[in-house]
Amino acid sequence: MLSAAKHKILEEISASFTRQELIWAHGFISGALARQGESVLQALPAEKKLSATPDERNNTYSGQVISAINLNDIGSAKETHHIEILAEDALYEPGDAISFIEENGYAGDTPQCYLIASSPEAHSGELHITVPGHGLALQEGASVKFRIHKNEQFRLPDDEKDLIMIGPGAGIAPFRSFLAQRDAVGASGRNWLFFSEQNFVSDFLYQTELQNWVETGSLTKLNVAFADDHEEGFSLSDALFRQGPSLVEWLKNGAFLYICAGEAALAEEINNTLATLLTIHLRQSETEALAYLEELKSDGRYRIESPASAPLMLVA
Amino acid sequence: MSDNTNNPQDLSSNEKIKMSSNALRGTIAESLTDEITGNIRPDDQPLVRFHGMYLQDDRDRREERAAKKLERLYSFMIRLRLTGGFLSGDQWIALHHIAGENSTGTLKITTRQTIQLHGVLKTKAKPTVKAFNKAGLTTLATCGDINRNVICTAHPKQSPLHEQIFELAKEITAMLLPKTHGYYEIWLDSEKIADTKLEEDLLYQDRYMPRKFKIALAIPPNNDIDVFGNDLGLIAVIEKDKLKGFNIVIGGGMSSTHGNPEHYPRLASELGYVDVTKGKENLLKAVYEMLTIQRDYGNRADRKKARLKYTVDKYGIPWWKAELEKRAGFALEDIKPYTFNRRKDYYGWEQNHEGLWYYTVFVENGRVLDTDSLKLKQALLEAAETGKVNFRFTCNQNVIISDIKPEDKAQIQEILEKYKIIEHTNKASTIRANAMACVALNTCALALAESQRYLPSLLDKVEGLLEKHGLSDEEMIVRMTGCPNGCARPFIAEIGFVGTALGKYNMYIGGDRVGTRLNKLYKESLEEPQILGELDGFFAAFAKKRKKGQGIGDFLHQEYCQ
Ligand code: HEM
Ligand code: SF4
Repeated sequence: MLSAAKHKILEEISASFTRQELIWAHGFISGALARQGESVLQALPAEKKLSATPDERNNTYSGQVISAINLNDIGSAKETHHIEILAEDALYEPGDAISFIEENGYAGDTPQCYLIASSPEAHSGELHITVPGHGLALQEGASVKFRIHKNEQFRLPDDEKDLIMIGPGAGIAPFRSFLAQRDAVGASGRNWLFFSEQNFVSDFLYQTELQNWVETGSLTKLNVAFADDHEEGFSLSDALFRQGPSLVEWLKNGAFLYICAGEAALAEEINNTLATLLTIHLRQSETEALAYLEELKSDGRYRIESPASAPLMLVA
Repeated sequence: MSDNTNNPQDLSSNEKIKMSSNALRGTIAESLTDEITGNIRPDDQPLVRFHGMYLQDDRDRREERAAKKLERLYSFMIRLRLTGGFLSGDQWIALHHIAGENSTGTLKITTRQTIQLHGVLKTKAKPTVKAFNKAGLTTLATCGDINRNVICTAHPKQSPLHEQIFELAKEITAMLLPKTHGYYEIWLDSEKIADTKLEEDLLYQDRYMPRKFKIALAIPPNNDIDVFGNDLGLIAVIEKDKLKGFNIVIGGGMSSTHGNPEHYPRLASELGYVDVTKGKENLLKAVYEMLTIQRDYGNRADRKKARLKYTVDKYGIPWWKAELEKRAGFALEDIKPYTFNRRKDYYGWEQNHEGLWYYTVFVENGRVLDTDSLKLKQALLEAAETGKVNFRFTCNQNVIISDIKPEDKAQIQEILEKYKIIEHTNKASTIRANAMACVALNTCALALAESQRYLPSLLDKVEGLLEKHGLSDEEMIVRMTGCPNGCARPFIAEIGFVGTALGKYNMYIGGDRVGTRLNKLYKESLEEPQILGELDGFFAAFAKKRKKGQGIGDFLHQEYCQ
């Protein structure tokens, strides 16, 4: 059975998110619930049950794993696997997702959908994903079959638009794709990434790549929060607070704001933090701030994703 | 005033960094707040050393981390300033906890009487310095081109005048600290200095020294501090329990480069004698002006030639004497006779002239830590917690639990017994008790071969050879470093090993027991079986042919180095 808290999250998400976001949110929760033996279908209001489009279903490819590394260093409590798949013919755009077609059992008990972490422009012929945990056991050299899921609701804005990306943990995956793509095509819009994890030394996913993008200027700003670094702890919200004035300024100037968080509660917390920052720095009331964020959503400038979730067809 | 080696256009890049550093501040503060890297900016690297830190990375982890798209595992080595190796019991307790919270936890006793912590992440650097400061400890100017930790014969039993000479060492330290306020601003959140005139530095100006500058005070007949390995050595002259003055020796230094005769180890040369019976002013003046001469004449174009030893060889001792006399305003007297007869520590219990007790603990390679077999760190903490001891570190990388009143000795003895420290110290073979190794891999970026991680196992085998030749109780000084910079002073060992590549060492033989003769390169790039083969031969010959009382260094010198 669903706890009251989970119900509340579901309701809130259902109330405020777009259709596509809802699919992802459901997917995320279904993954989490399935592990606990609960069915997401019972949990969802009947009219919100959605199915994947035929395109997505038939969009199947095969490829070969050319690299599978755990990005977390020894001493970390976490595992996050960076997997590179050679798939010359796979057609995708930054923002899309893949799911594996279970043939060899590598996809684990709960098949998942992963946002793609590579860019067709920067990583030609390859497709990368960032997999939290050890549920997906893919070895180098393995042959895989997968589907690509189009995700029109989560696309890079126009090249000249500024983009704020908040990607804690494996939530960084689609933003690596975005950044690589923008870097490869020379997009003029500024990019700002927030990343958070437990430990600076062992858990800074894609650190050297991000550093290079900062160095070349492709990544205008990079702010991080590692809980272990500070005696009192340091969260993503703390990092956002610290950057408050600048964040609000970017938003006022038309920046897009994308969040990719593995936990719905975290996305919720970020949303609340943003609202608080607006009340502080724009002197808005709480209602005004929430309305402002709603407006951003309906303008397509504020989007929320989950890096890994149950594939859409399971929801059908 | 200085000569043409120091044309502005020839200055090394480090010189330019120092001069434009705004009194050693550089952009260290900005480097510290850069949250996306554990590294600091390239131009801050030479500067942060003046604040007592060296940026290092774990070389064992480079490859694997690169594959994980993680940067190198950067961390700081942080070194304390402990003049004469002294640390109070309360300070030891503070240090124990700081090391546990912010570093690898191991306290490393260095070869120059101080302590350094390794593995301090950038985010922990400031809290570490703050915690040190709270305990009355500083890291200021313990690395970098400046006067380093002033060392002094460690054991108070050496002479009733030990305390007096130790106080002099502290005065020298204070006189030669840099005037910058930057240290306090960057690490201790002090207010920005209002008037920069207040930090004007007449000694170091904006250039500091051309290279590190090391000062040592020796109380004969013990040369435990290796006085001839320092830029400036002061050898106490004592008559009838009165301090008369100091012989000054200059131009010692270990660092060299394999295959480059231009870059060599050198022992300090005798310069002259300063009387202190009418006051210490002349001595302090001589020390101060020694630095100004080197400041003005040292080579600032080529860092490999920037130590005092090269300036001494370039201008010669008579010139140095004249220049020093001119600057200090008095004449040096001729060197007074002095003798050294040992270089090792007094292990176990000893008493000083006042009846205070001292226990010298054997610490292999200076690493104070707790292992399954020996809880040394815990034992020292408990000793400190009695509130009845101080600590003194030796240049042989050992610790003396110090200044224990007769009535407290039993309590300390009990702690030492409980943790088997006495057993451990007594058990160390003669060769091991006198051996030293530098840090090398995995933290030292310059290491060509292993050193402190390897020497203990090499000694296991050497002990077997000594036993075979009936030489187990034979004193000998064996030292190893991972590269020719010579951090463990291998060139004044009786037998020295200097790494050339992984698993390979140049072998040096024939230094003397007390550290007044350099050894010589005997064979190059030997691997362990060859090393053991050579030693087997040496020991066999030594056991058969040695003269009565002859040490192995002198024997090897006579047999193989002529
Ligand atoms: C692990 C990182 C270290 C690095 C990168 C390093 C670097 C160096 C270098 C470059 C020199 C030669 C400098 C010169 O002659 O101007 C040197 C010499 C020396 N270092 Fe270190 N060192 C390290 C650790 C240590 C430690 C841990 C100790 C003490 C335990 C130490 C003590 C010394 C001593 C005694 C010398 C001989 C200096 C002389 O020529 O008088 N060093 N080191
Ligand atoms: S001697 Fe060389 S290898 Fe050893 S610590 Fe010094 S610089 Fe490093």
